[in-house]
Amino acid sequence: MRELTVSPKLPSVGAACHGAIDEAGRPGSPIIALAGAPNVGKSTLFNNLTGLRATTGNWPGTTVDVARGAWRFKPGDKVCDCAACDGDCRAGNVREFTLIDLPGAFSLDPLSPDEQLTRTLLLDAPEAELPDAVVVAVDAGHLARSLYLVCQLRETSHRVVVALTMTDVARKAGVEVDSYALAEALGCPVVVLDPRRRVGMDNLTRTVREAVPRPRPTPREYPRKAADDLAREDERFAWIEAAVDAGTTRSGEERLSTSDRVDRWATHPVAGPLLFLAVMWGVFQVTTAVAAPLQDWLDGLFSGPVSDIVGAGLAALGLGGSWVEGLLVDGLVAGVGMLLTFVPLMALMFVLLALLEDSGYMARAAVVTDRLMRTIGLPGKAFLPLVVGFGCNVPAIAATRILGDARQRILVALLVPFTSCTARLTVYVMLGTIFFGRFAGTAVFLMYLASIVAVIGVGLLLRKTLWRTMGSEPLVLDLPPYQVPTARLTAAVAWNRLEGFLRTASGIIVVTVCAVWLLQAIPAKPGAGFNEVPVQDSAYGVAAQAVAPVFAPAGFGQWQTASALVVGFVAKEAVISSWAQTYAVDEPLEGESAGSFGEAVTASFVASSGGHPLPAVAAFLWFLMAYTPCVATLAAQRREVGWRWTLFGVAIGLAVAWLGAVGIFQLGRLFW
Amino acid sequence: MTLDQAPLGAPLTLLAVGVDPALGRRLATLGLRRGVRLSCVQRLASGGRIVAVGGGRIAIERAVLARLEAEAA
Repeated sequence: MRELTVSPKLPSVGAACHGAIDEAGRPGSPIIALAGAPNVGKSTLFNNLTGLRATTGNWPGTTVDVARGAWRFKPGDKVCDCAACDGDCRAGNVREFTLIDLPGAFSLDPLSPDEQLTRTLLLDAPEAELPDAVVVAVDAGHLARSLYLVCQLRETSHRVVVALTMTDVARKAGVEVDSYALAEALGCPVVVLDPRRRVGMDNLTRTVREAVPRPRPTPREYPRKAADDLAREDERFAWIEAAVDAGTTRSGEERLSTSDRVDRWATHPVAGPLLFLAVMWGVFQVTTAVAAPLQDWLDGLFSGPVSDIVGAGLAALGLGGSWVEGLLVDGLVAGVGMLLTFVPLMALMFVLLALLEDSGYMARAAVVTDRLMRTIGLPGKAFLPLVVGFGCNVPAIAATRILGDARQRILVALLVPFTSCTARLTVYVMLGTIFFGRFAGTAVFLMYLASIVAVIGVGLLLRKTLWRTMGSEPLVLDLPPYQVPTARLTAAVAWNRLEGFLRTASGIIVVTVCAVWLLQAIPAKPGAGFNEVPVQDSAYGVAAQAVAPVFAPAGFGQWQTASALVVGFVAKEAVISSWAQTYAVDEPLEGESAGSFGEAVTASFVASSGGHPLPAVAAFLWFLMAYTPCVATLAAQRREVGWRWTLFGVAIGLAVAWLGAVGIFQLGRLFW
Repeated sequence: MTLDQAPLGAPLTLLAVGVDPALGRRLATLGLRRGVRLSCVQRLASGGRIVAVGGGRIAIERAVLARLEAEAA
């Protein structure tokens, strides 16, 4: 490789700045679109340039929405050669760009809504709204396929800059890229960089700053004989082939790579699914086993010293024993403390999942599960939004856009709520630890298997009833090479998700704890004043008692348990805190001291199940897994598939949850 | 022969792509078009295969492979 940044000869410099106003960048800052085929490091590049945290992953379909961020320059960056100015004369005193991260697309001929979005923003928008330049991330290891988009963009008047990634992977495969020759052949600048290790970012900034003030280039000429589509495609591929020939040298025949050797096992018809199950089991086992001691320590910290300190502080202020103490100590400290005990567990799980994603394994998981997905009429890549759902259902609903068929998108959007998000994990771990002791990890793993069973079962049901004629998209899935995950990227992705979970969960918990406290303070029966009423006579208790009989056939008809499920409809993050709050303010159960949350919950399940607490807990966990995840998911569903399907999904979720829970309990109590 | 019948690891040249235009375009952008050299490197469940082409790896199901004609390179 001769140089890191090279430009072909381009027309002389002019001044041109975009006048658009954007919320992410400064008004008037030029707009740069970041495009590229899926899985070439585009979102990692976006994050490095803007300091933001778009979702990244070594698998197709990670970006399904448009992210915007300010791409700021270092002070003193000089982009011109004149001695008289501070370096900004050719860049119109521009200090930053607004960078738009577009969904991955191999071409501007869309097959799915996310690709359509890329086309609309790059081709169909009015000229005044077109980006000032397009940075196309191109994978050096798969140059030919990455260049189709560049070829199409060169047929327009877009200023194109190629960001060449994965040159290290290409070199290992025996491909050397001469970026200088490639730039000449493509007719646009080529910058070699490594977004995962932040190499080459300054060169890219400088190159784009140089490109933006230049006049828009003349579209690439193509022969007149290429008038029809087929001939035009042939001409494009010939142009790409010429560019690849000019810009690369290949040493020898294509040989089996390490990725191929790993794939012999990872995608093997028998070993592949077993490995997938083993990997997922390992994730949950390691997560629960390693996090447990830390969780216990944090639990002790919040229920002991922190509560004591807050209690003592309130007593010193003369508020000891008042409603303020009830709200702060039993409500907020207990609720937020409960949430924080899950931080080690969440962090560990997010790190492990980020490692799997960054390594490239998730694309193999989609191949392995393809057969399973096909039984419900979905292509293997429908597994990708479902995998996202195991983190959080809200982005998973948005990720259904990678599917080309509208009915497939609706079906997946209805199935995503059955994928068990991390908010539900908090309840699994809590009840698993209380009722199943050292088998808690296995219990949690079984809940994830139950989640997969629910997805397949409901999918089959809908396929056999509503969508009997639904066609199936064939499996054609690009497999990225395996790569060693970088610590920085893994940490960034894990922290991004953990921070998002904590931010969302803490807000929800504070609001619901206050709402639950308020409802518990409002008397629903005469005879007691505000905040003096026993919980069972409060608005909260009376409402929960009205709902509770519905759950009696499932073995968890106690009103406290029912109230936790009602709160869980709003957000699963708040289930445990509001549940704990209920017991904290409730009278001690007969024959029992006002002990820990675990003791109270155990007693509650024993009482409501007629002495069969384990099947009742299993039924409760099933219900919790299957019914509506949260209102945010409903909002995402409404946006993607409309109200009608959203309400249909709520009804399906409640029906599957209730019927399954009743079945589990009624059958389980015969043996357990 | 079609790619679902091709021996694993053998260098091949793609002769014809008999799929609908939209899928054909997708395959072409992934590097699978007439005249290109490729090989099948791994069997998948239900007769699918991983195809090595242009330095990349693409998992393809059997029904699509059966529409791709190739000959020994």
